[in-house]
Amino acid sequence: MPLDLLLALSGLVAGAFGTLLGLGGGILIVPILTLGFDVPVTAAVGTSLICVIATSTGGAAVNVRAGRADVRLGIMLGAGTVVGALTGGVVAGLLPERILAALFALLLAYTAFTMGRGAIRGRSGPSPEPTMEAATPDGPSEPAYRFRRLPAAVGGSFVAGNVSGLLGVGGGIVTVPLIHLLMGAPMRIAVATSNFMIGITAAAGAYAYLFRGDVDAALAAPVVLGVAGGAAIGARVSGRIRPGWLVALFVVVVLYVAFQMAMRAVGSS
Amino acid sequence: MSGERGAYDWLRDGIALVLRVGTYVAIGIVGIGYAVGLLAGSGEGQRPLVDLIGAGGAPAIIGAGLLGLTLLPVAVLAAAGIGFARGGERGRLLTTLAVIGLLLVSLLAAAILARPG
Repeated sequence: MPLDLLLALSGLVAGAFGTLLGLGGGILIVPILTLGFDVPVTAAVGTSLICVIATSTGGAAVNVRAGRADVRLGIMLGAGTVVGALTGGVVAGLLPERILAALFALLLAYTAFTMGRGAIRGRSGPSPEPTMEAATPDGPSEPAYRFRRLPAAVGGSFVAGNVSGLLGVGGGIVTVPLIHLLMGAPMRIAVATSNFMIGITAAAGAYAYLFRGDVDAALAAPVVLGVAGGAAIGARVSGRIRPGWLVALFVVVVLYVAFQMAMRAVGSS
Repeated sequence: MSGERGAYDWLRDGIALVLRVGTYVAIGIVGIGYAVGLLAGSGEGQRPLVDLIGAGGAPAIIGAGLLGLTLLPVAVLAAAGIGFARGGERGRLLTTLAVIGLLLVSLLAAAILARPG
């Protein structure tokens, strides 16, 4: 019972923190489960993918309704992310835990670098991922822009899917810059479209983990419920919190976690 | 133009509805399974989905909820496909069907490969 409560609370924190910072929570769930609860990396990744689907679908419902998510673009790029996630999910089952931990440490370090750089440049990290409660239906009813470099973006989305299937994150850290910088879509559309795609991508990766037995139902249930609750709380308070200090705290925490994951990879922890 | 607009609205509203209802239902099922597990005091371990659902009781309910969550994107894509079909967007309909096919093939492959023997 106390373990269940701890798991649910961890999910709550990951969901709230992830929503406040526009990350979805997957980047926090894997290290929390691995380092805090000594869950094997593959089981943590499988559980995280399920949580990522839950947070993505909740937010996407609002984004799609408000016309912020470009469904057509999301599905086109989804073809790339799904193939990438399938590959990632299969490869993750073949890689040793240490390699997965090392790859995750690299992803964490990259995320901390990206968010830290954004904060130093005067932004508050990536644009908050609109969620079910935070978003308002004020977007355009139809995206009014023309995207470019579609073939390159589909290739890039394969990489995003691979990262998602391999490491249990949404892949938004790759797809948002891809849609915004490479394809030229407005940031708001890029974030919302990426959020829509994340559920599709994570599902493709999750099947391999679910059927392989890499998702523990007793562990996943409280975490999924906690993440869903945390995402709702995060969305509710997101407008009232100045995210500057939150980003700074996040960067420090993520760098520490990256160090711990790296230690686990080399076998010292 | 108004026809295209109507098709787009249908696409948008249909997908949003599937996402919203599906999320609540799937998370609700996980919650019910979790509550049943707490009341019954079952402490099941890590098992493949097929065994989990076959076990009955709380693990089966949780497994069904988790499976429902992972199948939600397929339902969303199906809703999008209907929207594209109504709007006469054949190319996008084919892309959507291809993505649905990929997801279902991966589901099937995962289920088959996970079977012992």
